[in-house]
Amino acid sequence: MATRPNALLLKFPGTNADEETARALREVGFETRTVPITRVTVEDFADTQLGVLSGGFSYGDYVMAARFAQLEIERRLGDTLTTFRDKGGHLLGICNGFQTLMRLGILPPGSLVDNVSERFVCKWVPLEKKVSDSPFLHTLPEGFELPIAHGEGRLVTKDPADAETYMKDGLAALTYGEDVNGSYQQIASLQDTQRRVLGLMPHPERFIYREQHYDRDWQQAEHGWGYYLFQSIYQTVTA
Amino acid sequence: MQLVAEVSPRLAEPKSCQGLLYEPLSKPQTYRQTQRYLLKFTGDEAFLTEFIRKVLVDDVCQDLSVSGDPVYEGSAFHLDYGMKPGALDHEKETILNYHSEVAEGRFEIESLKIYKRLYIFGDPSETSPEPFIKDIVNPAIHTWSVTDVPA
Repeated sequence: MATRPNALLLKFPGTNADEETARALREVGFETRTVPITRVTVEDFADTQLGVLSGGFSYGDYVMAARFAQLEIERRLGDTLTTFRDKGGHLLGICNGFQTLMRLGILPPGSLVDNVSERFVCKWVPLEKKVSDSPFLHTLPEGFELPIAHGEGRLVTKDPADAETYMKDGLAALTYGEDVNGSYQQIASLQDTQRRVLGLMPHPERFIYREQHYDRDWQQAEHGWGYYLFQSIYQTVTA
Repeated sequence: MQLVAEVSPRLAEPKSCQGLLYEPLSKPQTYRQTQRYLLKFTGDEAFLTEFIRKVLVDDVCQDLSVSGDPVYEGSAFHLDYGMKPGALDHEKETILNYHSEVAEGRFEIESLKIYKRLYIFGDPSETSPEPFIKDIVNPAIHTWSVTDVPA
């Protein structure tokens, strides 16, 4: 039997979606290991193909979402994540993990700030795939839906024109099909220039099984759409 | 030595005060919100300021003021409220714990108080802090102060 690829999930105080994410990764074929930030070492990345920052509220979102997760990663791991990516590893950040990757500067410059409504938004949203070269998205259709659950998901850039550039340059991987939080260009997901890092606000791990859809008769695919995101990256790292 | 750091959102527009209060307002009023950090410290002020900028500020969407002056002009008053001394303030604890590990002996934070500041805009003769105190401040856990109350 072929060896399964390894996914390493970093866990912070307040991370709460790591178990669902690990299960989703195992469903598509990964071995998973969840390591608290207080115990993680550089060596943990040696035999890892996919690093994952899951959703939740790391450090209670104190000061701002993901700020202390960013600082703790920098303090404990230095530039390990960037080096991991540069050596061919893949990184996935979901919701709070996306916010963390943004703060670390691994994704294109910007910030995820309070929703325009200043309210926590928890709903299913339509999404549009904007890139064809993402190793995380290639088995997904052009349009699909996933749930979101965030208070700080509005993607902004120092200059709004930067977000337009992200759209043109293929760095905006997904956009919302409707304006859910005031994100510039309705961007829901960014990827890095090397196409090895993906951050997204929606929660793919919450739509793995068809039965998780709000419509009990949903039959657009064999699995929930989130399954195909994890399947895409599995196919990429095992190719 | 003391340092006052006030972090304000660069992108947020003034919002209707109706969103803060339970009872309808008779006249339109708006507010802006900032976060203020009052630090008593010893050591290198420049290093501490850099620490604040790195830990407390997002330079994409926030501004930092360390002058101690109000960052918005023209408000009828501003309301500061924060956790009472002795009440557990997780944000404060997280900042202090982090600071103790990274300060490298360059500075020492002796005390930290964190307040939310609401700048309330409206006709001063029609704008009273009372409903804001009643609906926003929880006297069981908060201390608060009001500045620039109209005569």
